[in-house]
Amino acid sequence: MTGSDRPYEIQPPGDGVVVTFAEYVDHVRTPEHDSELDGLVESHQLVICDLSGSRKVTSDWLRFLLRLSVRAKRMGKRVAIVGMKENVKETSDMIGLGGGLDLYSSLEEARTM
Amino acid sequence: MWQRPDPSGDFFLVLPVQDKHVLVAAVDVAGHRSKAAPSAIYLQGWLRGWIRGLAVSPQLGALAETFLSELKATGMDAAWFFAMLTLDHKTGSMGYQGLSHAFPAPLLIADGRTLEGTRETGPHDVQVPALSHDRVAPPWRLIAASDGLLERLGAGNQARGKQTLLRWQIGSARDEPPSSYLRTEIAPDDDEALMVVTWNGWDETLEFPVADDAQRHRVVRLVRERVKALLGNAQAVAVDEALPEALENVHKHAYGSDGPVIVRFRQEDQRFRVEVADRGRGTAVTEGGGLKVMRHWAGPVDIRRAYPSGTIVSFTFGAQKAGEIE
Repeated sequence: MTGSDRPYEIQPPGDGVVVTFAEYVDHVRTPEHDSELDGLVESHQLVICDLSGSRKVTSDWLRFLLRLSVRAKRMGKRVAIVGMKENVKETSDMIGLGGGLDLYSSLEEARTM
Repeated sequence: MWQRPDPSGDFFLVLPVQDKHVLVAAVDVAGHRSKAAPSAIYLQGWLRGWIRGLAVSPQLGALAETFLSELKATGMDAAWFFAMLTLDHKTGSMGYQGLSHAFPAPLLIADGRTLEGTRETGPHDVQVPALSHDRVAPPWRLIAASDGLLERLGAGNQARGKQTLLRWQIGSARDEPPSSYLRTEIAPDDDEALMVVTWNGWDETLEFPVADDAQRHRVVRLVRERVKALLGNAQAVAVDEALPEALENVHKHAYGSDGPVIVRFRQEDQRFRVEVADRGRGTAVTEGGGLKVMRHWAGPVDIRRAYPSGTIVSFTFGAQKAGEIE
């Protein structure tokens, strides 16, 4: 299946809030998306972006994830990226985001690091 | 077609012949302006009559011989170029035969490559076999320009003018109408005329609002499934990577919000061509991350201006291995 209605779903906060991204994250990024995810970084110490089910993330969304991550670091917080697939990582490296994202292989690893 | 509004001995015709042939004719009657124009009108009628009178499949050589006889009988002098295009409706390709007599050899551009467009005969020799290509796959364009126009483009040098014409017709402005490129207010030194015959052969053309996620996903899915069936899974992944980047560029750079996007595609021999066009500000493609991703997954990306506004981006899946950087 290509694309959900929404690019992500926010799971009820437990040990760090988890944002589960869709299979195809190629949606138009709206100001509402930006403020919703910015708000999560404001209000949580750890925001986990679960990309383990995402086959495609556009360069626009990847850049936005980096922006979130940088913002979190400035506030002494973390945005952890979990389960990024090889082709998504390839795209991320290609557009120069390689070292800027904190990548983890599992939710557990992201929580404990 | 483009021609100066002045009376002229130059004319072009593109005429269907029977059910699968098209005759392309370019004729330049000797002489200038109103002295040559009546002959040009007569010869246009003669060519139409020749086609109407055909009882068998058209033969380019026979046309050339008969046309020369007519010129001789009427005392007219003209340079000419004829091409017979034979269309294959099933594959979208065409067979091509071209023959010219003292008319500047036209350009035949197929899939960005220049093919030899004609074979020129000597003044009295029309028995030379016509130049032919059995199967020219779309997209192709056939460009014929009069000597006067080539001289204008080449500042007095026809060969240089032809190079200018070629650069224009393979460059990013090739879809703009000639009138936006050729200024008619400049006083002509001679008759100036240009004909461009193009065939894109798209399988499908889909237009939708670029900010509509559901439509974007539907179109990406459609292209992916077609590519997967033709080229396999690796190229289907390349579609997932490249096509959304092109759509996002339209959204972000061409319109800054919503606006119409046109996605066209066609299947070729072990390749799949996709074109993404907008009617926006003409800046849908910048040397940013999206273009890098497109090039990485789909190979070379062709970018050109649309008319009257916008940008057209096209790429081909299967032209090279997915993920191979050009």
